[in-house]
Formats: sequence, structure tokens, C-alpha cells
Amino acid sequence: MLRITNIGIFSFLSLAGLSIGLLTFFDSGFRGIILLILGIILGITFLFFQYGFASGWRNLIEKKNSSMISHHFLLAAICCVFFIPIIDLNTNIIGSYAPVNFSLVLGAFMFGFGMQLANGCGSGVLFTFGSGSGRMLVALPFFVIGSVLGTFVLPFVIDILSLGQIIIAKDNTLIMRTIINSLALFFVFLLFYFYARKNNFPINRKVTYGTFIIAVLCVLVLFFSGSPWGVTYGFTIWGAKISQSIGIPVETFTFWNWPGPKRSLQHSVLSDISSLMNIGMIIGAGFLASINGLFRSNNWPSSIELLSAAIGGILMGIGARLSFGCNIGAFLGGTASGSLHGWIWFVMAFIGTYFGIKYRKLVGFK
Amino acid sequence: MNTKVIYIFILVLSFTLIMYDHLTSPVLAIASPGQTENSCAPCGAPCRD
Repeated sequence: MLRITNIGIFSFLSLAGLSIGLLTFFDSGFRGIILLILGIILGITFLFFQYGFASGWRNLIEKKNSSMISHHFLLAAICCVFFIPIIDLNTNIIGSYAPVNFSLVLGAFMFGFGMQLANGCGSGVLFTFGSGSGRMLVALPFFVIGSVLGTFVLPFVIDILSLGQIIIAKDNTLIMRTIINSLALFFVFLLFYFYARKNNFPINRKVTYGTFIIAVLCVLVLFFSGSPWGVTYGFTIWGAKISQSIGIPVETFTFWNWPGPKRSLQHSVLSDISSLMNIGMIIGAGFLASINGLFRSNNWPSSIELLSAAIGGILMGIGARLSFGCNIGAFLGGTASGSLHGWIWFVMAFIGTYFGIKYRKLVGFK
Repeated sequence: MNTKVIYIFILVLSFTLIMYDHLTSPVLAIASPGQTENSCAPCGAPCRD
């Protein structure tokens, strides 16, 4: 039976969720409220299944346990089967496409490195922050700061060695494009799956169920929002608005004069899809944490953990802007949309993860 | 330091800022920056010729 262990937090989150839900509904109608609810469900789902990217990638490098990372590719493969046809058949729905360039390579490496320092990726920072993790209470604000710094840097580097957007199997028919992309992802899933079995690591059924639920939620987000789920842009807009309020003229940055960012800077944080869903995700994770008693077990982290979380947060923030997203927006959204940048993001972030783990050992992280 | 107290403080502060921003900013329609015309990335970076 469910028992609310933190009635104060539960009540506050209920009030906050209800207020934000009503405002979103009045301003954005059903579409807005559906996206907020999807964010809440994603927060609950990620926390319930402990669906982490950072720890899963670390397990592969440190313990040769590829069980979790195999699920990440299974998730991308399932999403891909639906994403490419939905994007192709609906003119109002766009994929997560981004240029293949120097900033993608550099930013993904920085993100992977920072992810291990902070002990969480974009979605990981969000749902563990929502559940009251002390380390993430530090990592998230620095993630936000880093992403604003990234908006300053991106326009200077975006054209360096740029090959433009590269869509895999672009000239093939819709069916062939879907098959080629989803089979490529499924093939990597199988590689990691059999590698995990070879090393006697069982596939966690609970995580498999979580993968299917998250895949369904991702498809719903694509359908209702008009683009694949993304996390880090929400942090960027929060940071830009806070910067403006303390007198930093972010509106003079080239990035914030591009039409899309300019629009989101001028409008409410509840009118940006990523920002709205992030708020939902924090509320959802907080709901679950206040029910399952997670807050009680949270101790304040050590100084080195907090310092690393801050550095990791900054690196992930800058990295996410330079590489057009995180594990969700760039890797999952990119590969499932059939964009080459998603694959390159994975490779570079994985290399960054390797060096991030070296750092963890250097400072004595467990 | 008590994690829960800091968490609640950040939560209340964030909620207040969200409300303030929402009530002082226009809302035309919910959107993503990548959905604007001539956008080449999810963050809204424009395509180069």
C-alpha cells in the first residue's frame, strides 16, 4: 500500500503541479497540459526504473556489464520504428536533425566527461534532482549556467568543419529508411545484449519493461509536441531568463537573436516544450520520492562530490549546447530520427565517459 | 547541511520564479526553437547556405 512519507513535499508538489497545469491549460490548451502530464509520467518512470545513462555506460567500462546500455539502444530502436514514419508522414512533425561538425564532436565529448563527474546525464540530473539528491541540487544549477555559456560559444564554432545535416539512407524509400535505421540500432542492442550475457550479467526484466514504457512515452511526446523529446534546451532558457534578470545582456548574444531562441526568451517558460516537460519531470520524480521515502535516505554529499558535480554540470551544460542536446535529445532523438549526428554524439560522449571515469578513480569516487 | 531543507527552498524559489515569469511574459503558443523556419538543429540554430 502506498504511504506518503513526506506529506509537506507531496502537498507542495501537488499544489505546484495543479497551478502550473491550470496556467498551461488556459494558455496552451490540451496540448500543453498533455505535455506537462507526459513530463510528470516520465519523471515517475525514470525514477521508478532508475533509468540511468551515466551509470549504465560506466558499468560497461568498469565492469564489462553492457546490460543497461543495451537497453538504451533497444529504446532507440523501438522509437526509430515509429519516429521515422511519423516524421515523414506529418508535415507538422520534425525530427531531431543537427549538423555534423566540430562543435558536435567537442560538445559530446565534454558532455560524456561531465556526465561521469556529476553522476547523471540530462534526464538523470532532472529526475534525481526531483527526488531530492544533494549532488543534483548542485549539478542542476551549474548545468543551467553551463548551458548559457554554451549559447555564447555555439555561434562561433557551429560552422567549423560542418558537413551539415546528414540523414542516414535519405535517398531510400520511407520503409527502407525505417528498416535500415532501426536495424542498425537493433544490431548494436544485440551486440551489447550478448556481450552482457557472455560476461554473466543477466538482463534486468524490470529495466526492459521500463524501456518499453519510456519508448511509448517518447512516441507520445513526438506526436503531441511535434518534435522528439529534448531536455537540455529547457535548462538553457531557464538560465537565460535568470541571467537577464540579474543584468547579463544575453539578448545581445547571437544565439538569442536566432528566431527560435529569440521567441522562447521573450515568451513564458511554460510556452517552451522542453522547459514545460522538465518542470513536469521534476514534479513527477518528487511525487514518487515523497511516496516511496527516498528523501529519508539522502545524505549530503562530500566536498569532492559537490565540486565534481559543479564542474560536471558546467561541462554538460556547455557540451549539450555545442552538441545539440544530451542522451535524450541528441542520442535518442537523433538516432531514432535517422540523423547521423546522434551516432557521432554517442561515440564522442562514450569516449568522454571513459576519461570521466579515469577522473572519478583519480579523486576516489566509488 | 540538510538536503531536504535546501531542496524545499530551491523548489519554492523555482515555483515563484516560474509563476512570476509566466505572469509577466506573453504566451502565444507552445513550441520548440527547432520548429521555427530555416532551423537546422533542435536548439533553433539556422541553416547556412
